[in-house]
Amino acid sequence: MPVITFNLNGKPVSVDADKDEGLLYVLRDRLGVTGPKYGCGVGLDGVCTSLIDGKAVRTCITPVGAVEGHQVTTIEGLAKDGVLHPIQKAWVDTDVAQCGYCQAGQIMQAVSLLNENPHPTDDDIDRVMGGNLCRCGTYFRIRTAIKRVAAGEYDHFELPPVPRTLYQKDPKEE
Amino acid sequence: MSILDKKIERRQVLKTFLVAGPTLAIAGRLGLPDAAEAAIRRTPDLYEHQDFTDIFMQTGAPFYYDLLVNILPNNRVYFEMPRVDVGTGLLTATTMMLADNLDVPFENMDSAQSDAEPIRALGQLTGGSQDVRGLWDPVRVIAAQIRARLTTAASDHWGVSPGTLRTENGYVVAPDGRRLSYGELTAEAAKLGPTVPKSAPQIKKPQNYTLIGKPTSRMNALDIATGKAKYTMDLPIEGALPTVMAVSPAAGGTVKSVDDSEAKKIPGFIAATPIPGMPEMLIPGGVAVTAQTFGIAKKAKNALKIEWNPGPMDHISDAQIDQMMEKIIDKVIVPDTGGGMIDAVFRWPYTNHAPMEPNTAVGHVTKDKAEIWSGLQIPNTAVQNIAQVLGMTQEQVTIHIPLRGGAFGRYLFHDAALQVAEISQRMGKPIKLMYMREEDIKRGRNRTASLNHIRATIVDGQVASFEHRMACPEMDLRHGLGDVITHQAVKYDDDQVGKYFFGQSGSGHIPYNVGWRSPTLQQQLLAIPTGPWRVVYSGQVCSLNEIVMDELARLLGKDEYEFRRELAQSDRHRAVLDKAAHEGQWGRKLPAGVAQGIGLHDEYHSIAVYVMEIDTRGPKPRMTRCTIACDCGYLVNPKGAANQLMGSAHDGFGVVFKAGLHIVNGTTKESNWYDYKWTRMYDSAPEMSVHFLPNNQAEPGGVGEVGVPAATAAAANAWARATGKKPRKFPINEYGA
Repeated sequence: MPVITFNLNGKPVSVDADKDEGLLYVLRDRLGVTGPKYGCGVGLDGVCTSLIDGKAVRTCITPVGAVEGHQVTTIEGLAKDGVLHPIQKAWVDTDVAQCGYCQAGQIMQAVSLLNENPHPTDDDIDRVMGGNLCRCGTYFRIRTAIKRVAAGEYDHFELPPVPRTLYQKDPKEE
Repeated sequence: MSILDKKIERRQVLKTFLVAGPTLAIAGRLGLPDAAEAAIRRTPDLYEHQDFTDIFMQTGAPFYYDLLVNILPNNRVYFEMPRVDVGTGLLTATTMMLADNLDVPFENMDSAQSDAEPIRALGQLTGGSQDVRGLWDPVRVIAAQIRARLTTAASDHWGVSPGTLRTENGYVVAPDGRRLSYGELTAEAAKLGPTVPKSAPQIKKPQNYTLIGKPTSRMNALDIATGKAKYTMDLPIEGALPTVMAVSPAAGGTVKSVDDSEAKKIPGFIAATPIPGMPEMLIPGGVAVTAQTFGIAKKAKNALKIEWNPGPMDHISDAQIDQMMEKIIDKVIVPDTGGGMIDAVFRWPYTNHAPMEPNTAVGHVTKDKAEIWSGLQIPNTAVQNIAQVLGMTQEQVTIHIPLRGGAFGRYLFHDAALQVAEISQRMGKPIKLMYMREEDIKRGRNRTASLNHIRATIVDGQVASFEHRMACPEMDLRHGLGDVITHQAVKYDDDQVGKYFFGQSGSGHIPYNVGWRSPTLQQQLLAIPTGPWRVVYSGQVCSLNEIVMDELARLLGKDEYEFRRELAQSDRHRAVLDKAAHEGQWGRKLPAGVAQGIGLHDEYHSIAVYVMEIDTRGPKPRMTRCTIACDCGYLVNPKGAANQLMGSAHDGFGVVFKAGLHIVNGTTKESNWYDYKWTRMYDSAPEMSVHFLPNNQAEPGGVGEVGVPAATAAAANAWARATGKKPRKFPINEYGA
């Protein structure tokens, strides 16, 4: 299999994979980058959405060969040098997420929207975010968070300290 | 004398019944109207005094008080919630409750979810909207006991009376200002063991709460927004191999033969492993396809040539299921005596839960133990069944509970967890199993299809009877929820358990004074897997009752909101109606083709009312505004509760307009989002608001499900008012009126 090289979250990576293999599976199963999720495998729910050169793509239907030499940004690479993107602060403060499974995709789609259109209307949000499904029904808060970021509410904003959620329980490891 | 008069008279006789005896006599009878309510017009209903959440708490109570709370020397608090957070905000709510009652800063908490602990039996069950309510008292009592022990340890240390000490922000504080952190006291407090502490445990008074009631973002919101939150498939389990399932297209079909010659040509393919599943639990067998990545596994699955033995449903399609329901449905009996009536037949389709995270589980089975990871709602039933199929004892099976990407009732069952155990045992390797969306939709445990016949009659301008006849394929409650009812003491009968649940959960409850109330359920077992779907029977039954309430109002020439207000069974209901109508500007002027709809639901000790606006002028109906009022008892987290209620609006919209499955020759026709449609951003209202009634209850009610029937009704009623049509068969986008 060919070696494919691209930039992932600011660092060069090389993978040995069939160039037709979906980028999502390469990211998750070969590179251990688990922020983008599997939802449908056919580009219909946007759960796997990440950025290529700043634009949102469905990684499940993007062949890894197509990103050779390009910049791939997943949710893990959105914060730069530990500084959160305003949209991440908005998502926390607006309490957008419920189960959270679709939210990496929602956030990356919203970043792409704002990159291209810093002041989207409700119609713009309907059109661009319409491909990202959320079963918990968080749409109103997604809409609210996007508008708040567009209004600059999170350019200088500090999140309060929060408790820790332990995803694998073991008090000894803490 | 009318039927109504007779009923009132009989009640008044009962009211004067006297209890005489040598000891304290009780002169009141539960549930009988007092003099002011003497004109009340409804048959009595046990649900109004004891509902299913009460039964949950009674059967699970001994175990609810078994909570792991560990005060760590670094002054952090480790808490294990014996539940799963599937997006409901439960972990955040219980962590808030504990931190506040312990007098510990919120950010000092470290929270996790307990493994399956079979000792807890029925006390480890997430569902039924009883979780916050069920843990409310246990958390408060245990926090008080911990504070008493820490205070006792501090009093021993300083040699002062414990009564003079207080707790705040993770410290015990003396009157002179000396302070010791909980972390410094934890070792000494632990030495007190089971002895009664000198300082009497005191439950924190609600007026002193600083965190409970404060709008608080989900505790792992930042983890989610940065990609750090870990779901089952994200856990770094060493060596776990990506695996997908191929399952029979028809329900109940089994593997006859597998030809994997084409799959073997795909680089990265590892194995195709037939597994039996657990047919008696309707957990499908099939062929597990393992590869280096999920992408390759999916490709290999599609390259397999599998021959299937026919399933028991192969000759059954929607039309036959409909005929079956028509055959078993109870008859309505009250005739129209000339005052008018609404007589309507409604049909709901099968509906998949379709959480965004499909069926997932990781498993590592060795000769003498099985370790499983899966976000299960009832893990102890899974332990029993997995032990059985592996030929192990329950002690050999460990199940860890990661966070889960949505459930809506789907994870009351444990299909993937059981299958991953079978696969790992056969392959001798750790396996990560994830259904592809196609199998997840085809192999769901659907909300049942149902046929509903409702007749409400009017006598002298008043509603005199309200009959609701529901018939459906039998709902499968064998995941453990049914055991709450039988309590493992009598022979399990799924149909009877379903009927009891129907009556006692709120589904069989009509919260209005509508004379003779008679909801009944008939079920027949089919091989198509079913299961509770957010709010269970009520999502179908109570939503339809609310559609009939609208039609009754219009028949009587009354405003739909005023009519409900007039007949609502209590002032508590009226207050929620008033709040929603006021905040939603009920009756405001809207263009032709746009209308408001209202819906009320009462369950889980909570009441919700939705006022939804639907615009029918475009190619598809759209929700344009939604106002929600809720009395959910003691409100723990206004943000989390509001999120659940807003989410319910989208479920209501989805089932009314968009979502529905078709059964063709035992096979689910739908397979992915292009044909199983759900509410999207462009369906969702740009204006939404949630309004809570001032708290007047001692305990929290449930908020995770109560909104669904109210929202469903509001959506359908708005569409009916906008179009002048009658909703009868769902989803409306497919069937129209």
